[in-house]
Amino acid sequence: MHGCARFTPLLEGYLDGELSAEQIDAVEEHLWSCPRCQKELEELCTLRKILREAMEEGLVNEQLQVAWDRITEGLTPPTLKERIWWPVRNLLPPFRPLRTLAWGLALLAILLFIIPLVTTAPSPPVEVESIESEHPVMIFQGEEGMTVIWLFEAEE
Amino acid sequence: MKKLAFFALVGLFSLLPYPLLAHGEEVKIGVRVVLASHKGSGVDNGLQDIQRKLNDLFNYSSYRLLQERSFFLTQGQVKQLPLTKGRDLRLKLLRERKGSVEIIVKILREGKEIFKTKAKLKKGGVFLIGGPKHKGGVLVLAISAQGA
Amino acid sequence: MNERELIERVQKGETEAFKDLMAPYERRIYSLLYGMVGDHEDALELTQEVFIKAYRSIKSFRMASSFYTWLYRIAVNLALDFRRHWVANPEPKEASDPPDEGGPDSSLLRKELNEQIHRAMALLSAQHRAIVLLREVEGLSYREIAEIMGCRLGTVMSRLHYAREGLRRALEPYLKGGG
Repeated sequence: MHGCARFTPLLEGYLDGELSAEQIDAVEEHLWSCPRCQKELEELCTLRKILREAMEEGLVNEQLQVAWDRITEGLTPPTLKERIWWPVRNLLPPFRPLRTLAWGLALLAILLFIIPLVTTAPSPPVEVESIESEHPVMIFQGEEGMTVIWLFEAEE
Repeated sequence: MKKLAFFALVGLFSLLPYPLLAHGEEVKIGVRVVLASHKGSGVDNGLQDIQRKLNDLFNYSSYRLLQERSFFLTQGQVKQLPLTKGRDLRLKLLRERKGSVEIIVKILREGKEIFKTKAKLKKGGVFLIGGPKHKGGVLVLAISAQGA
Repeated sequence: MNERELIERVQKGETEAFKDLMAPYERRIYSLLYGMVGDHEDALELTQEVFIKAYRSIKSFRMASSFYTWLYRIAVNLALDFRRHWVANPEPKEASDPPDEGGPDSSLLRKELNEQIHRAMALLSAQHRAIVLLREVEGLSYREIAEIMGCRLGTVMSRLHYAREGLRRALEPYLKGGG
């Protein structure tokens, strides 16, 4: 047990494999003769073991599969961009700066002309299309256009 | 200049096959669960943006923010959140199109659907569902949608 | 195909290669996030966000650094950000199902221990939680953790010590028996 104060701070580094060869030798030598530090190290190992088990708890392949389905959906926008952009780029004639600029400006002008035509009339911020409820329901709008659906629940 | 042509083309495409492009886009849904009651007074800091609207619409003296969640949904995706003991909120993103979002909101009690609504929100829009009784007051859910 | 080749393919826009690239990290990222947020559904949702963010920013990844520290940095930052969305006192989670009648059962003890662990983890700050998970569960070196967390080596060591002390205090009865 002699010299525990010197070795206790090194135990975590020992467990984590962050000590130098000399430090490892010194700690191991001390551990041979010190039940208190052995117990300390054992507790640190147990903590690691139960933490690992707890984090893996309930993790099943099926759940991760579900997540992958969603991830694939999340990746859709870039692939769509690729799908649209790459074939279009391949169809374009070789890059000519002036011609590209001219086409670009012409397209922009067309877009600026089209946008006001296709923009629809402003619609309310929220439109409630349907409601099904066990309890009576009232729907109303505040002065600033805030839509509220109110449920008249009898009991909690 | 190549970039300019690229943006012009993308702009044009975004006008033509809109439903195709819209599919798969993420929408950020925000849910705030508020307890409105006559116990005490004041509005929690997290509700400042809708404080005036709450005061105009209802006459409760206290608005306490119980829970705030925001998450991303893509078309067809469902998210369920616990509201209070025994009550859950389920949201489904039906579609996202031309700056607006169609969602289905359900309230479940002990797993049974007690309320369902289908609503179309403009991105940035908020709507409220209120009335379920809770701890001497009522719950008000503020649901909002924004583009990703 | 090695990781480097997979990264290059994904950087060229091959979505298919992304799944192969991420396969070794799925479980690890999930369990790190589960430890950070303490909820399966949230951890799954965050795993999905981490992967999407990794895909979208993979072009900025430089081969000189290690891919998994880059990936863990995304995961930790998203988890830290996720926690900030929570109000300080959210509605307490509903009590879990009561144990079945009958004698103690090892799965129930396991469940109880896991609940205690999550409670003990929740008492730590998100930064401490991240560091202890990166070390104890993911087995990363102090240097790698410092790189992920964007802090000094000394900070990693002191935070790790503090987090371990906190967990040991909270889980004392379970540690004394040797797990």
